[in-house]
Amino acid sequence: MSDNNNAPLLQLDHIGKEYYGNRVLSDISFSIEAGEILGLVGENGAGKSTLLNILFGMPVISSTGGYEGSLYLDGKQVNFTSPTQALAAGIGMVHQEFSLIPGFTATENILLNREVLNGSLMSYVFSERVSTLDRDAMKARASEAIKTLGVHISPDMTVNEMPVGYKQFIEIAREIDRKNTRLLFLDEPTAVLTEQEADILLIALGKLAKSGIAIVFISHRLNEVKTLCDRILVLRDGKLITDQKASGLTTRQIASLMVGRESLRKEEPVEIPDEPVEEANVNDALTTTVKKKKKKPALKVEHLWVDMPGETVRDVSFEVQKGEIFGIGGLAGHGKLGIPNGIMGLYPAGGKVRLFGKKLTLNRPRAALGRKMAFVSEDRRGVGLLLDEPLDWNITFTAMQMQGRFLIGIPHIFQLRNELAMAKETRKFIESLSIKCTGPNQKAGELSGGNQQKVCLAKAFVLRPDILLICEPTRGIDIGAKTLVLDTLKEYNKEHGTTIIITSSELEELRSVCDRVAIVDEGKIAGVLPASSPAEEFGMLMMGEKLRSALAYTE
Amino acid sequence: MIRKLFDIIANNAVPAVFIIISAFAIPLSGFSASYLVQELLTRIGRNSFLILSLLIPIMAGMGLNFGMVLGAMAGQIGLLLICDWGIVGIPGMVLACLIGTPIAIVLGIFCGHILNRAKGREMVTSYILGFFINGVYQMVVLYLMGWIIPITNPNLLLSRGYGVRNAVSLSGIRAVLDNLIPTIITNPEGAKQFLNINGSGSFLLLQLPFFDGAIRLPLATFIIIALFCVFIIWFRKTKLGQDMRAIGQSQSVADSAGIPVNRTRIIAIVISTVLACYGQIIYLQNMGTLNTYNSHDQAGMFSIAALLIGGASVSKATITNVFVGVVLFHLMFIVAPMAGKNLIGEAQIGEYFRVFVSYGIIAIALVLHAWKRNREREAARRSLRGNKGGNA
Amino acid sequence: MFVAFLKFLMRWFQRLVVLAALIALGVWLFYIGREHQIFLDNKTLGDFKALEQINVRVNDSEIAELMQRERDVRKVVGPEFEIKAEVFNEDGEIINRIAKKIKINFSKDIMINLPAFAAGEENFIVPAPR
Repeated sequence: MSDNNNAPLLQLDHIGKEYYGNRVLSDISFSIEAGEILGLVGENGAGKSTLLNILFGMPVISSTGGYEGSLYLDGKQVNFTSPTQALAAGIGMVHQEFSLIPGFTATENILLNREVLNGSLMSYVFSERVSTLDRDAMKARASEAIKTLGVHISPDMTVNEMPVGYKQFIEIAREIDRKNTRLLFLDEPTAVLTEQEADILLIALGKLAKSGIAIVFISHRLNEVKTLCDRILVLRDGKLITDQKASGLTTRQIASLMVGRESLRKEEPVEIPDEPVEEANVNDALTTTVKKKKKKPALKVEHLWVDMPGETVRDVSFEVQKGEIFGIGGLAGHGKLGIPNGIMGLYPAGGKVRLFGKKLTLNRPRAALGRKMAFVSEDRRGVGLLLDEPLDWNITFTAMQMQGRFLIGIPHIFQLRNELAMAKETRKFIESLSIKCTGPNQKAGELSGGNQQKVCLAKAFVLRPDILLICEPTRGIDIGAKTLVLDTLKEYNKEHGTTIIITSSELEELRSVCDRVAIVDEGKIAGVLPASSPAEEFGMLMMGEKLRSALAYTE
Repeated sequence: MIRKLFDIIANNAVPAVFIIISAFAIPLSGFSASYLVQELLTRIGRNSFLILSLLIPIMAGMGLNFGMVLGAMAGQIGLLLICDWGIVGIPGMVLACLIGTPIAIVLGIFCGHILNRAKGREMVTSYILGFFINGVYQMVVLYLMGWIIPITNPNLLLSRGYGVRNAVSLSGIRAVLDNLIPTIITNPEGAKQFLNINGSGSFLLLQLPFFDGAIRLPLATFIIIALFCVFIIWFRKTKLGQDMRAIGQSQSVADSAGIPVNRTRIIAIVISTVLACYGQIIYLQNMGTLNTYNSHDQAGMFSIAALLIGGASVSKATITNVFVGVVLFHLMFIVAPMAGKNLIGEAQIGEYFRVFVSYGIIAIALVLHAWKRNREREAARRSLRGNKGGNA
Repeated sequence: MFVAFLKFLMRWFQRLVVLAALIALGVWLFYIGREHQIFLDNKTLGDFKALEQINVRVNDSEIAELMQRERDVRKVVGPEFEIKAEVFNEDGEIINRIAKKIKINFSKDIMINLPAFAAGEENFIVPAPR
């Protein structure tokens, strides 16, 4: 087997993937040489995770029909159907969530399942696993791996006593301790690190690359990507948009490539009620306006934090004016979904939230509902609907609970459901939102995803809220219905003056409907921009770049 | 600082409570020190092995192994067979262990497979599994023995001709292990008396000058228990032990590191079941009688209660917990009936305490465990935020 | 590949050896640990008339004094035992002393016909009752 010395370490040839008709990746081709550092950049949904899953042989790929195209390692075609195969071939992966045993020391974690054993007679008869561990040899190996990274961590420190940054290093040390690791994937390794820790990590990665290991570095922090990587790949909507040397791209260009797409926005003059947007004052337009008009904001959030698993919010502050349509966007997992969930009391939260100047009690959904806020959750099946109940139930239930409507009888003593009123209201919404169903009595679980979303919207509208919080309004809905939902929101806002806060992962959607859009990055507001701002500015905010033109409320 | 103190108290609350109750009850019961020591030594020898068999599943994160009763049943089948064949003495006991081992292994594999399908709910599943296998055991013992499984000793069979009777005398192996190395601890005075009464014979005589009374010490049993402790300490140092510790803390991480999670969990349960089999045989050789249909019933419950009283939790148990637990638990057993009788005139209070405390302590341990797990999850979520912000 | 297969074979071979050793251990324990009942029968068997009196001691047990047509039983652990007997006539004199080592092997209980035994007959073991 002669090695083809000219072949790159890893080569992807027309890799594609679709999940049951939903195309996630198309025609991805690129290659990596040993010792090269490649930066992989893209929004969520761009296909980064799917690409990683394919390269690492995750079972979710093979169980959903495999992938198209071919992979070549050292010029030879390979096909991984399990992570063990990929590991054996020399590919290492450091995931975003730590894969460490909390009660074990650094040494034990680095050598997990690859411990050094003392041979013995028993091991011959029974199995290798009855041999005792050679802890001294293990410690030596772990120390070496840690040293290669150039950090100072005691091999005997227990993982759950380590600061977060150290844990990341232990993860990487584990991968490089494998003797045959030649390619290392790092998925958002700096997401949980402080600036100093991130710097140390980047230096360590540079050292690793010099020793011959190829690195694929996935991050949304543009400055890091530019500092560390030799080449940058930008993925968007499953396609490879660009494959260039890092030195040839500015951060603005990268951001633009990441988010730039056909704008859905109709070219209309921006109408933000009571807030003339002037170019000169764009820096502190909002603060100026507030000073001029001294209007109390409909919603004022100060230093909000929310413990929502996967969407942690660290320190968020912003203001929303009455009658405004406010958008919250950002990459997945950075906390944009945590904000409305936290305000509505669905997850542990803290900080200060004021509604029309009055403080809102957090951690109590009933309090939020009582202050005439309505919420449409991103989890419509789990949180938004009672799947086994009919539509009229679902639509009128919250109003019944909170506002005492749709009931006949003596309040607080004896009341019955007013079935006729419930059906009438339901029929109204079935018509206005074009909900495809057999009638108000159909069970909510039987409807299609898009129609279920319309039912959730109807439920919120019935409450006639002052403030409406919507998460992912058009997720899983077809194009026609998307427009309908967005138009309905705009109409509702115009007709009733309801303040609407939309959280969405589709930037274009936000830019087409909202007046202003805030971008959440790593649990904090990176900035707030008028919706008409160029898409790449939003992209840069998502990538952690600070924009002078953005309104930042963090310190 | 306050938090640390709180943690120490919280972790050792249970043994502390028991020490306090015993401190009251001992003088009330009127038992002499030497009587108590004798009783305790006997019970430690009798029960420790069973409790020690619980340690390995806890290490592997499978919680309290209520399925140890399966091992007890395997041991009892072994004992029934040697009774029928008339094998006595140490060979009888060893042969019972030898026969019980494959049965315990099969039951352990079965239990392990089922627990693998009930991850996160192992304890309740093993509890119910114990009832199910109890049914199978009773079918074997009540119908198959004497019919398909040949039993020739008429002392074992029911009058109808097949099926084993409830009370089976284990006179053949009674106290064989305990008396293998007969040891007496006494003072020089008592030593002379003892030699006068019993003449000479082969036994170990330990003379402590200040000791009141004479105590028999089941030395051989204690040596076996000590060997078992050494085994557990060695096991923790092996790769298998390390794998189990990893699985016990995080199955997903262990799995992604390539550790065969399901297989290792089954191994943990098999080891525990086999050791419970031996433990039950040791227990029964001390008792001298086998209640075919009842002896194994409370084997799990009492052992688990004792372990928890010793300060263990669902996720962590050490050898110290075992011995502290067996002493405190059985101290209460011995002392409560007399103390109750002297105090209120009701000896029944001892039985009440025994049952109430066993179930009660297990309930408390499970609740504490669930509460602690919730707090850990909350803390993990909080840590994602770094240290800014506060608590809800 | 071949090496791996050989290793696999070796491992299973070793396991079989261990298993066989355990079974052998079990059989041995059965052999040496079994408790047998030795029935001592002082009854006429064919030409051998019942003895007046015979005192039998099995290993170190209590002496069994058996008159004519009496039967007694002693327990013994292990595959063999020693039997010492003294035969008396009507006047109480010892007319015979016998000492013998008897092997039981895998039977459970045996009965010794004492007249035949005392006479030095080879086949003095008769099937045990039950």
